[in-house]
Amino acid sequence: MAEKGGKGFSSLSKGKTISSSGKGGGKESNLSTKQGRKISICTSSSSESEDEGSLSPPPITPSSDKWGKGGKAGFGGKGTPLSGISSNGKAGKSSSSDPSPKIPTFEIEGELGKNVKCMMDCEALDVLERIQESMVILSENPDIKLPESFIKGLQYAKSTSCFKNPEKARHVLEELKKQKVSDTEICLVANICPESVDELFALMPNLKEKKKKNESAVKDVLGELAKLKSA
Amino acid sequence: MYLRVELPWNVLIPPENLDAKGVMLQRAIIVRLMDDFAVRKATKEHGYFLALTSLNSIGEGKVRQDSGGVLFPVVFSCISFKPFKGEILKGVVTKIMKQGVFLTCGPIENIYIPASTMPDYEYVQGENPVFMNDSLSKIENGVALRFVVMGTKWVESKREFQVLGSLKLDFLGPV
Repeated sequence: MAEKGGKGFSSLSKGKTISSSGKGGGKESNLSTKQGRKISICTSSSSESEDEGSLSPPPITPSSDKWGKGGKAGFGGKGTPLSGISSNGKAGKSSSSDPSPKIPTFEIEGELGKNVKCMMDCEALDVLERIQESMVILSENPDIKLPESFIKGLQYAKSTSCFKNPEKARHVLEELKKQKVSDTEICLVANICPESVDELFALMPNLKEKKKKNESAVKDVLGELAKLKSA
Repeated sequence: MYLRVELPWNVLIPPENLDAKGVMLQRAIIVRLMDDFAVRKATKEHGYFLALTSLNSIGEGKVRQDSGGVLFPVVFSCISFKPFKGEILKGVVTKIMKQGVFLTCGPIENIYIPASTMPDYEYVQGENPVFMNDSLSKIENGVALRFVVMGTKWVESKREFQVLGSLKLDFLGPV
């Protein structure tokens, strides 16, 4: 689990890793992945451990967060990524071994639990808007609170959702299942809302791998989808 | 990506809310659950909590010896938003620096796209610095960018995700 985040942020934390003695270096590099990327994330605080076991909400601890602040300073104002090279040869190494990180493929089907289903942005918009309508009545009660993320989540769905009728869009996209496109990939296709086959294949390289087999089917589906676009 | 999640939780109802019967108890459970849900904010597994959609079951309560409150096991459905590796998202630029740009995307407040992963874009210094490419496409504050998620990191102490993005695919960039 830890390597997921670590991998991605290697370049972010570069600034910091350079200045630190690279304590976690040995351990972290074992995590280097099939993509051949070197991981150099700083393991400054153990507070980021996974303790999602308990069912009831744990207390939120506004403790000092070394990573957040330190990390930001690292790639923020203090010192450009390059400025650290002289202090430690490691920086040069990590940047040269990692000239262009490979774009990770979107494969989360196995990652989602049994009780989790992905949604298309337009489906989420539908549900969130309905909740917002009912909140007009409920908000008269001061006891009832909405999560702070609700409005942001709603606004995001508004900005990305491109189908007025989610059921129809889903129905059209179900066709892709015959091409062995998973549920989660179908949702991503809907969220990308591609205008052309080229666009879709560029953004979802794992679909492109089966291009020869599925190109015409994908084309048909995108043609149908275009008719459903709301704006 | 938005997720529809079914979760089992425990809700603690303090003794003072237990005096009323039936409907009021159920109401107390819902209000308490909504409160807990809002306070929890996000989890590593399911992402940012956006809204409860239904309360599916309320189990048998157990009296807590210490406080006299009753703990009810409940199962509910909710909507959450979680960033995934390889996903294509749309973010709004909030800060521009020589090294790269910061964005927000829905509930995710910390997204960073390093300049090295913005092909063709050059940093243009000034009071309001921008990134610009040869065809004069501009990345400045407030601009919406389509990007691919390179990696995510869950920060337990802040209960939030940090996301590293990239523009190194065709069809990414300002939208």
